[in-house]
Amino acid sequence: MRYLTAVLLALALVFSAPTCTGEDYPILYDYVTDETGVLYGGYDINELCMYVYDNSGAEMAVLVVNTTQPYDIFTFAYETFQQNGLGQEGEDNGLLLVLSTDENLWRVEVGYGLHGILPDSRVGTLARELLVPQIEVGDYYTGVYDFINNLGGIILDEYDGEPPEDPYPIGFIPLTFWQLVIVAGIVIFLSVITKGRILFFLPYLIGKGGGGKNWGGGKSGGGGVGGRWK
Amino acid sequence: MEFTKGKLLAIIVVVIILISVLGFGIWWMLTYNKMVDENEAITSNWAEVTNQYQRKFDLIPQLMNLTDTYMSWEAGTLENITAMRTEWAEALANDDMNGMMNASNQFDVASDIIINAVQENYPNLDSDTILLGLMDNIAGTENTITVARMNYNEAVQVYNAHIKKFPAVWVANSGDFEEMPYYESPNAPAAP
Repeated sequence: MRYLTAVLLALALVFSAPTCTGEDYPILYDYVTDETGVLYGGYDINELCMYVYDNSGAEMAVLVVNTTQPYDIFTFAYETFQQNGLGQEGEDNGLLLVLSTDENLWRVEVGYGLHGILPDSRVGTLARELLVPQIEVGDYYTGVYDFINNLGGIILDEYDGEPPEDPYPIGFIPLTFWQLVIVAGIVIFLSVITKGRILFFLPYLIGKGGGGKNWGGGKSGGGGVGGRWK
Repeated sequence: MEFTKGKLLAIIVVVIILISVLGFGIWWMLTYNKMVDENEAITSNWAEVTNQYQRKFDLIPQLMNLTDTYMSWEAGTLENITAMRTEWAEALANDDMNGMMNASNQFDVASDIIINAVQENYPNLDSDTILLGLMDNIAGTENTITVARMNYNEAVQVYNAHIKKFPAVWVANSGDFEEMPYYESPNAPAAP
């Protein structure tokens, strides 16, 4: 039984997610990923992005980091977008806003599918009107909220799309129905033979499992715009 | 009907030969089709490169026209850009990949000089929304070109490695699959 417990512990460790992908690009766990705390959790911004997704299928995300080094912000934003797969596969309707607070740099990476309604000049103008003036005075939350709200409004008004059917019956567990049945069967079986000890490891498996949010698998073509504040 | 030992052996040998020939034929067909797919990937990535350069060739003259009130462009600068564009268009029409690469590399050098001059010397850059929008489009196009070139080079790498490897090289030699050129540029921004 000790061996079995050790195996379960090892499994839990394996399922524990790393904080970064292979090349140190962040995993986006939700619509807002704030590594600096300047967005105070960003719950309202998260809600905005979720609303846009629910009504258009477009996936917007915000990432705030202290630094993008050793990469320049373009490479960092592009690779983070690609590796997380923002937007639906084939639709490429993702958008990523990256703020780097140490270097005072911002960048918006726009997927192919949204580039028609959000060309670089339009995004750049909005960023200079709504985002930059606020973050220059340290009000990151208002700047990002207003900017994302505006971009989201454009997507809802001008982009014709809808979210794909969710293949997962339980939203936060990326398993299909039959995969869930198999996992449930294994858990019940292990519960019986370990006299319930497996249940101690469930929080590890559910809470830390996976590689971030289940994004749609879209791509960026490198389109987007960026700049510096202050 | 009874098979003699010799006949049975002959049948087994024939069956083995038939299976081998069939297997070789299937392998040949699959390898050929894979090379066609890899070649098509290069073509589609190249199309994206040409689209984005076409856009940049349109944007740079717009930038020069918009700023010519304040910027004293050297005589012949716009004509040079126009000549490069013509060279590019001719190479594009003739499907001359090396010609397009040369023209685009020369154009990148010239456009960098123009963009840097505007960024450093234009007095109203920070307040001119039309000009800032145009600069955003140019920067966005350059980034997209960087990605398109990277995707093209990756597709070329996969294809070139495949057609040189043994035994796939037999299929490549018989099917007119030639090595494709990499899109190299000394002044290109670092690929992500």
